[in-house]
Amino acid sequence: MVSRSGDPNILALVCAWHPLTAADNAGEDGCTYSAKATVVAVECAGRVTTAALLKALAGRPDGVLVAACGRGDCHYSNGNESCEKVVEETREIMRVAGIDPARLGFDLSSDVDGRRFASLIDGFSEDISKLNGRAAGRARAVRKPARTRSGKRTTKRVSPKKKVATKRATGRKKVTPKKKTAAKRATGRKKAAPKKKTAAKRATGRKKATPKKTTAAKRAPSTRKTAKRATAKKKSATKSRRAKSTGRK
Amino acid sequence: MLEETIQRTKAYYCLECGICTGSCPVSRYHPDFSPRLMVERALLRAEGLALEDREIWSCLTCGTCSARCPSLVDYNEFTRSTRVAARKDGHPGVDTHAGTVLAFMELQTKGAGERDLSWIADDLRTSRKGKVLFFTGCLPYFGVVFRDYGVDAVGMANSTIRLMNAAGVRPVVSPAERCCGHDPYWTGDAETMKTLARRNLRMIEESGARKVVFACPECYAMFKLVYPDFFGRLKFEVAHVTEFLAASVAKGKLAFGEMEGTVTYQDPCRLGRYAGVYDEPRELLAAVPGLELVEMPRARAEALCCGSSGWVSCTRVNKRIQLERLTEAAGTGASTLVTGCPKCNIHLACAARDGDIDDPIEIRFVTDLMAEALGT
Repeated sequence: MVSRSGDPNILALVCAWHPLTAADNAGEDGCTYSAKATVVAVECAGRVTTAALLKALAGRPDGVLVAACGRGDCHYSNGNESCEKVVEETREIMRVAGIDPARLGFDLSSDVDGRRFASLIDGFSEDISKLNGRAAGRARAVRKPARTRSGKRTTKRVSPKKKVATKRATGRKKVTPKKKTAAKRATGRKKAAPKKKTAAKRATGRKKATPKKTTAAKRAPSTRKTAKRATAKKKSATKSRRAKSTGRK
Repeated sequence: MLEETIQRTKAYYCLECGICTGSCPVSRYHPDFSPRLMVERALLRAEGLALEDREIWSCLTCGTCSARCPSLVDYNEFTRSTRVAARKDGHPGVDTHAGTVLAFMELQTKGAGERDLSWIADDLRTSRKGKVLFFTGCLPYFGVVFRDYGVDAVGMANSTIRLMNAAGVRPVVSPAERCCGHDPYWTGDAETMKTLARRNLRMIEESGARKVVFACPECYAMFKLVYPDFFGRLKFEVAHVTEFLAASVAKGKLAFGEMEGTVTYQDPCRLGRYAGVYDEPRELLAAVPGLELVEMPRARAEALCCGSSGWVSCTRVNKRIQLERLTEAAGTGASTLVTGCPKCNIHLACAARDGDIDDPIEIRFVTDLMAEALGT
């Protein structure tokens, strides 16, 4: 587990029974996982609808991960299996809409081991990083001929900042070692990446930045958070449930 | 908020004659719903009552009341703009299909990339640039969501392209296409519609198309009647696929083989009462030798709605409207009910598979039937 500033934004919808217990245990065991992963508990994976997933995707995260209890272990008998169908349908809709279906991850497991949960998040995060890198490469490849083919409109739409960013990226490609460019390419999706960077820079530079921005900037240097901190809030809420769940196991 | 709505829709002309409620397909089964009362509440300036009323989401916006109103009050627009106000006031409707349909429409305003076009059958000819563009609308999405309903929406899009090919046209099908915004617009979300519309207009301009053909009458009505209100006169012609094909038949570019059978035709509200296209679909069906068209008692401007619209109301009441229409269609003695709208097809097919009526009539989209008559 290597910490990287270019970790993708991940939304993890986690069933409140086994997977959330795993997330809690990750905190207790002091495991770390990507700080860009937002863990949201849902009462049951079966409650996650296609519409909810599509709305989550409309918020433009880099990836959405759904974690459900293992087969035969659903507290509400078959929520995990109906969730599987929902994920399948959503992936099909994503394919039609031109979003890579691999950006929607699905995990069926009743393993409450914290380390497994941390590596699940990190593994998905890594897969999405690779996708982001590929998408950025495709965007560059597409943008070049478009610019030469129909001059005016394309040049208008590409803002000067973005142009500089892409030029810089391609320019440095030769000089810097592979890993660095990979990390740079991995920053978010093609359009969001340059903007985010400048926003972060601006925030640290100026004193008058809004409180939200400053906290974001303060947090920015250390991109890893311990799972403990991340799940601390949920702990009290899930304590009784966890006792039930682990007691049952 | 309602004042402007009253002025624009001329609701103040209401004579309280009750023709609207008497003609409303929803009021027939749901006595609490009354277009007359809705207007009355607004005229009494009872804004809170008007906006919190759940029944504004029960309206099908089918246009039967508007077509019959002696005072020419525009009820459809009245419903739509009350919905805009209600949504702003925190009283949105309850989305049907667990919100999936409206969610993928919203997704197309943000997040969605270039559409996948792999659904187009291998033997069909399409192009990236050209004079005629086929606007597929949400058909590829419906293909995923409504597969379990026994509706092949992708097949409808393919059969439309097949017919256009047969008429000697190689249509543009663009991956940059977006939903037309009909459903967000009619459920009070004009902003989503505007975002989608801007993208569509840019896509059409970039494709160089001079004519845009629609399989879905809702997309067609949006382009023909609503987009010009927001974006000025369109720089291209619009045509529903039945209009386009009927013109091709008249010019002798398209001919059909023999096909035995008796069919009846469901006038979609957007194509009929909204856009005024009644004859072309019938001319097209008449162009098939051996095919007999029988009319239902309520046809053309009097046609009964398919029972649902905008993905905001699907209750016992809607089902009863659909069953009434299916029974009426079967009563003509026809073996097939031909629809001019993919959504009518979806709604009626859904009611037919519920098992409330024995041996329901077969329901087919017009291009599916016509492509079969091509003999391909």
